[in-house]
Amino acid sequence: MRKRLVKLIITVFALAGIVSGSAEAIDRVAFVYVTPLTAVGWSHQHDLGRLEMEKNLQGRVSTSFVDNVAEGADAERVIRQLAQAGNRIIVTTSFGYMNPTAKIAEEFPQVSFLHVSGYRSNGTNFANYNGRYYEARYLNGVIAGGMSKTNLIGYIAGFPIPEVVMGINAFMLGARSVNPKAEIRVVWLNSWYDPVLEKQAGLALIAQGADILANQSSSTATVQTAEANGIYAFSYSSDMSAYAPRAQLSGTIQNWGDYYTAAVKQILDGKGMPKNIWGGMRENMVSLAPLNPAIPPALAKRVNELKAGIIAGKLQPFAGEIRDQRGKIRIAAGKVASDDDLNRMDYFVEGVTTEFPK
Amino acid sequence: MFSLRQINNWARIGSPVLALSLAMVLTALLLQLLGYDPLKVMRILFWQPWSMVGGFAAILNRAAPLTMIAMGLSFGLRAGIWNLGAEGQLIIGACAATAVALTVPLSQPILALLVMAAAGAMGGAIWGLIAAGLYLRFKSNLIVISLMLVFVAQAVLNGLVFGPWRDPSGYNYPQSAVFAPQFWLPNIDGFPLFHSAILIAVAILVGGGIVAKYSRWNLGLKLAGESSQVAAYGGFSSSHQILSTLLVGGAAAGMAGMTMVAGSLGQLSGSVMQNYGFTAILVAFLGRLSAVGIALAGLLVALLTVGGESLRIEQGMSDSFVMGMAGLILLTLVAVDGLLNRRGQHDQ
Repeated sequence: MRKRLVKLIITVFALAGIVSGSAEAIDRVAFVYVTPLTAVGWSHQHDLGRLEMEKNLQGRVSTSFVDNVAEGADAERVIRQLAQAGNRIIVTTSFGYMNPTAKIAEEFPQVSFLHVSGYRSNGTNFANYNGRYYEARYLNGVIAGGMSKTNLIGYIAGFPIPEVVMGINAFMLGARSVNPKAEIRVVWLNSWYDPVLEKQAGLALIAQGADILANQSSSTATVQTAEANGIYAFSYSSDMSAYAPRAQLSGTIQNWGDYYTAAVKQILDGKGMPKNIWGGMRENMVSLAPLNPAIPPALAKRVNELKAGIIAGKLQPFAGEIRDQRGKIRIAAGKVASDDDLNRMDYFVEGVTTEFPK
Repeated sequence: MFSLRQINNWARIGSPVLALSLAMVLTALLLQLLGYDPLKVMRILFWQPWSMVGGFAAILNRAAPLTMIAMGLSFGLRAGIWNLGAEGQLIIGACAATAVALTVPLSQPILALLVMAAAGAMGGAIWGLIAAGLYLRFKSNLIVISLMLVFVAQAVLNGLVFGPWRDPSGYNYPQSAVFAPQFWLPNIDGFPLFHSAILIAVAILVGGGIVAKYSRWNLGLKLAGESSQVAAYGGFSSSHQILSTLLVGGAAAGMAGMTMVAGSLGQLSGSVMQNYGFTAILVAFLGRLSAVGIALAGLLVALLTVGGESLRIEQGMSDSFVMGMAGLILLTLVAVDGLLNRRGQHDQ
């Protein structure tokens, strides 16, 4: 008797759940950010994408985010809690979230997980996506090569993972395409967000003679250091011209709104997981920041032509012949690096004078 | 009426309760001033983690390494031996455990985990002994020595994950390969999400509690904490005490490091250490250095973390605000409890 009663109660609640679920039909989508949410930077761009997606899918989704979640055990706990809290889709936006996300994806087969900048996915409820930042980096490099007087470019970066390495290499190839004497020196932060260290690195590079800075990390410290010291810089993730109106020549911008809208819609429409995607300037996942008027018109014109070439698929930054910093041929003449080659890139190209970390 | 002893007992138990209530009232007032609904926030922070699925597990999983380290530290702290380097001892323990997982060909899971745990505890103990040895040899400041060794440990960790242990198929990211399955600390049988590090923590707390109650060693530490001359008169050597407490504290922290790499992560990463070694010092003092107290304090700190995450998830509160609130609660608790408790002792 009691058992039956329990069953009855469960059934009633389950039915009520289904009814209320279909009546509301609002699905929750949660985002996890690795840094504190600031006005610019990597996490900010993902947040813009979140808001754009929410607007595009108005009435179908409600979104939320948790910021400053450390990679590792904390991330696992937060992602699990988000899954338990009833989110339909969880977007995790840092490389170090990859293994925790893969693990939670197994525990919650009914929840879908999207992860940026990793290499794992499971084909059922865990997909990855990333941008071809190197395309815009190449164009940044062309500008840097044309603008540098000292021919020394300082590059400040988080970790020597392939995504960062290919950005540095593309920048170098772009710079050398207009200035064979251009050189890049790299300083590693071993952190994605450390404005104090980033500033110190910038000052050290300036002291060595760098008159242009670029970075792959999540603060405005690099462009601000350039602004304060009268040299040029490129922004990363966001347009940072508000922080460095004179110093910012251009930059590499990430746009996630289109992807989030399409991916979330596909999942909610019951059309399965989005394919793993690596989108570039053609898909507008990556774009070039506005050009500073200080760039001479001839150089600006050339950059715009090259940009059109990249968008049309005619210009490939990693087309051979490309030699590494020891002179060894890595991509033969007439060949273009495959996506797999790029994702395993573990060398610096000619012109980067900092030793590749082993 | 009541005997003095009874009143003192009431004060011992009553003062933390009173202190926690005061801390909560103060926080509620602040929340009210800032325009939040204090009752709702308090309910999410203190109650929700217990009621949601997996919340209890998350609290225990988080409390496990904290209480392990705190119990280990309690002996030294009782004697006024300030080992602030638990974080470094934890890191070296994690590295030593990883060394076993990556290089020792063991296939039997229980044996593999035992060897790994022994390596973790030994790694932490050695790091503790280095601090003790440097202190005894050069007679400089133990706080500074043990603290500086944290940075050395971090450098060792970075050297390993950026160098020889970097996962060859991990796209150059500074982390080791994922361990083979026999080197994973499993969840407790029949309790999914509850990590077996909880059992290790309980064992350490019970063992530590017994040692604290019955051992002559701990009596010596207690005397040393009250007065070094009395301890010396009783035949307790201070250099022996320094070596032994750093050994014990280091071993417990190293063990915690092992549970962290063999536990949820299953790999060593440059960013795995999240100040557990420092938070544990707070847990030890909050728990008044006793096993029961440390268990309760560890649970409270873990609850504030997990409940704080709920607040961030559900109320959209910022990380810094939640951390500030947790800090205010803990600070009030320590201050008020310390005040009440000290008053009680003086009245004896």
